[in-house]
Amino acid sequence: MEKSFLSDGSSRVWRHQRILWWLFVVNLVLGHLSIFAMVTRWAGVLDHSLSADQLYHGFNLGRYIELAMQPGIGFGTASPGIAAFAIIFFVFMLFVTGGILEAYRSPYKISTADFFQASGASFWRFVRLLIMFVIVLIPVAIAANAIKDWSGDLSTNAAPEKLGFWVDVAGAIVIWFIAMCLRLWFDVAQVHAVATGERAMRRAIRRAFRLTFGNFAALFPLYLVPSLMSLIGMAVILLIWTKVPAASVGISFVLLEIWMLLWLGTRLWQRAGETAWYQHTQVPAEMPAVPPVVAGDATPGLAVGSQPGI
Amino acid sequence: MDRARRWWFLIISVLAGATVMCAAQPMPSATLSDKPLSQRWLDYNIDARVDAQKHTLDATEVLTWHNFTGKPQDTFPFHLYLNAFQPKSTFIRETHLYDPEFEWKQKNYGAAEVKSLEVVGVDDLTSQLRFISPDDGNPDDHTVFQVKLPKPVPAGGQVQFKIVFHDQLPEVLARTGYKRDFIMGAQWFPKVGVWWQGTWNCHQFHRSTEFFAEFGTFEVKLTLPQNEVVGATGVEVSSINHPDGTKTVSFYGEDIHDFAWTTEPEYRVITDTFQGSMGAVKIRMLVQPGHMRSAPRYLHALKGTLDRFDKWYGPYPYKQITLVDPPHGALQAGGMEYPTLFTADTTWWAPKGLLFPELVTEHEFGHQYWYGMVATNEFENAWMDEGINSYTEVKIMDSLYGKDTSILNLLGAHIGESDYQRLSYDAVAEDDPMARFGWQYMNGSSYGGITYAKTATVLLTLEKVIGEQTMQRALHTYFLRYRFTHPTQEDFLKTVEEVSGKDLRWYYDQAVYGTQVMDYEILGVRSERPDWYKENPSKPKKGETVYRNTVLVHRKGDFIFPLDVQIKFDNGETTTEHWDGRDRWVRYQYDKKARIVSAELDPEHQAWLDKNFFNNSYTRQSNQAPHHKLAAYWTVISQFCAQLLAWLV
Repeated sequence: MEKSFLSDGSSRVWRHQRILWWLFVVNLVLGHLSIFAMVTRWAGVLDHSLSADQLYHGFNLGRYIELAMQPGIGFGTASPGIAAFAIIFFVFMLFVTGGILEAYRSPYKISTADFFQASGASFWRFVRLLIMFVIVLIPVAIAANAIKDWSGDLSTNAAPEKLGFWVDVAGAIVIWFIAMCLRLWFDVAQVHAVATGERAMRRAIRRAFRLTFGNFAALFPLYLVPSLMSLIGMAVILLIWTKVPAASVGISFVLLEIWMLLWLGTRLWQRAGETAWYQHTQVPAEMPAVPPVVAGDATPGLAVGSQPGI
Repeated sequence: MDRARRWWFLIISVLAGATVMCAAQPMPSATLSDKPLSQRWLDYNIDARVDAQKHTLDATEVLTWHNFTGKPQDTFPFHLYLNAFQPKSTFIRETHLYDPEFEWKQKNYGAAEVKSLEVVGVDDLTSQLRFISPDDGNPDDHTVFQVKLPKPVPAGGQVQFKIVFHDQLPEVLARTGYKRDFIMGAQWFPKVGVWWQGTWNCHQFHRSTEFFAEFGTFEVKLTLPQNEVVGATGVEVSSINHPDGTKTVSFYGEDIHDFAWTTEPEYRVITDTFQGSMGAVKIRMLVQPGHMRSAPRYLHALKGTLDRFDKWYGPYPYKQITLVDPPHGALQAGGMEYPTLFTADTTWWAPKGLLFPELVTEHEFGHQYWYGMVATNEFENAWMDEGINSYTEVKIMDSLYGKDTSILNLLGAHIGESDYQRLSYDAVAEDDPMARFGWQYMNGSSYGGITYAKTATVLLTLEKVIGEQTMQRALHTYFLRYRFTHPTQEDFLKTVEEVSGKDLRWYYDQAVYGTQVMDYEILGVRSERPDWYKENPSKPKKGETVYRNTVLVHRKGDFIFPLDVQIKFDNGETTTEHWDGRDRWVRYQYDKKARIVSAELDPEHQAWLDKNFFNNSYTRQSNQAPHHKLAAYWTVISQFCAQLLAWLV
């Protein structure tokens, strides 16, 4: 059953692939903008220096550390830009998630206006969900920290040398599993809120809790399989990347961007799979998806309006 | 006498005779030389019983001190360094000063208590002991005590102290102590100070400094449980099992100035041999079971280092070298040197491309020369052991593992020793001079960055002035001349001047005694036509149009150093200018039928002291590929961070 939801989810992602490309472009542009000031400063140091070649042909870590030690170029100066643009992307994702779920819920391509209307309609509800999600994550973070302290202590003091490491690995798996369950729960809450127009988020969470853990065997693979695919894909891409010659910057960049695209795609796959599952199992409670405004010849899937569809 | 009595008499006589013969038999030599290598001021004879469960030790030390000072002596200072591991000691005080987050833990308590001190044949002077604090006046520091004899030891005479003491070892801290079953017994016995430059030299135990002691012989007996694997300075002479489940292992060392030992039941023992120029050296490695993957790496590094030292600087004269691999959690015991024994460091996961086990092995073995044999004062001239050793570490690691890959060669990233040392120095370049007492540095970073890294960088840069081969000859001469003595920093500096035949005072004043920072830069290059003012100049023709080329070189720092400037032209010509580096700037000008491609300071890349390598060259045309590469990677990092954060949505 879950296999069909997975494939249904993947076909929804494919059908609405413009969402993926847009998210990717936003992510890429913000990523580039976040380091723009840094790049200008690097250019001032590197562009006329013969030593810069040691960063291009190969990667001389000594030269890179020396670059980072230059006034205004260290990691400390890069991080505010990266953090700021990460937050912008985060807010952007918070905003568009409602539209994404609406698009995946719809059998048709929805218009840009409808997409952003759905995004706006869900925004404050998703902000409330986010706050509750963070609250739920706090004990998990505390547990993760405790495991880290414990494993650190074992690494130093326990007689078996690797015990701390294995506790770390086991702890990471457990924390990862818990975090996936929680994320799945709140994903379902979001899907439910969009599908039903539910405005009371605590009620949505309660409902999602029952749905998630009452149908855990069916739902969890919809989250786990894309997660594993993203990790396997990342490992393969990084393995290939290590074989790419140091000066082949273009190839390296394309490879790493495929990785970024893969991560975004698998996350959307999770969303789409969950939406498919919800639609097939919770139909009576669901509100109708935004109907398409069909043109005269009523070509299926072709949205019309003043703006292109998403 | 009846028959039975006669038999008993015979047996007892034979046994007694054998005992006397055994007692009279000299200890086997611990060196590859048939005569003493040092002036042996001391003979230590220590009999210690170790309680491996309580981490305590009870011992009797008989110390014979020979008065080679040329004058009568009646006052003797002793180190008692285990008392450093107490909350009010100078060591803990300085540790807290350097690192305010340092927390005192009772398990780190250590102590050495002198139960009695007797001058053999004279008097019991236990009540006469008093603690002194010659460095900082801290009355709570009990790491140095002094005793005054009722009558002086005449010049050429000797005195024998019999000291009974009890040690409590700390959980491993600052190189010494226990961790689970592992014990590193270092700085564990009362050790007399050094008569140096006409006075006693006996410093307190400090956060940053290491040690200074006098040459002699050591006979040490350790009694401990039979399941323990023991390693120690010198060579093992005997091991006798006792009915109570203990054994007594005896060690002997000569022409050394300290004695350390280690014990742990789990050690795996690996032995090998290195054929040096004085004879075969036994390699004994005590390795943790979980670190056996690192054992071949240790061995390769150790044999390679022995080989380079033997060929470049002088022979290793001892019969044995012992490598100790401390267990996990005992990092503080790792990376430390003692005569003929040193502690290495690794982890079970150490990747091959990260050459940390090799580096520690090389460095700590190097101390057999720069500390062990050339026994400089590590309190007052820390750069002479750590720094010279860091320099030889660069040379040997580069020789064994490649100039650009001798620290890290992993996943396409690499860094060599020279860069590693230089960057460590750069971070603290202006903080302290090399010539400063170890405990008087601004902080721990400065001590490390200056004594280790700056010295290595200063000596690497000195190669540019006197040549690499001359530098090697200078170290060879210095080693042969000063081994088994306590040279001063001027002894070293003058030896380099003597071998190179150059007056290097201008360099030493800045590099050793000063804090000047070197930073030369190519401020800019220009290639323009002399008829630049014309409204319609003729079309440029390669190889025919004349250009006025200028290169502006600037001294940004206050360190003055002569440098070459290499200018390359687009017709393939190369010009090298020599600049004495004294003025603030210099401009070179060339009228040629070619334009400048690049100008580079120090084209052979030997001025390692220069703080910024990027501004040492300037290309007329910009090359954006390097910064595009960094931009590409950092964009991905930024995207990755953003996606991670977006998971919360």
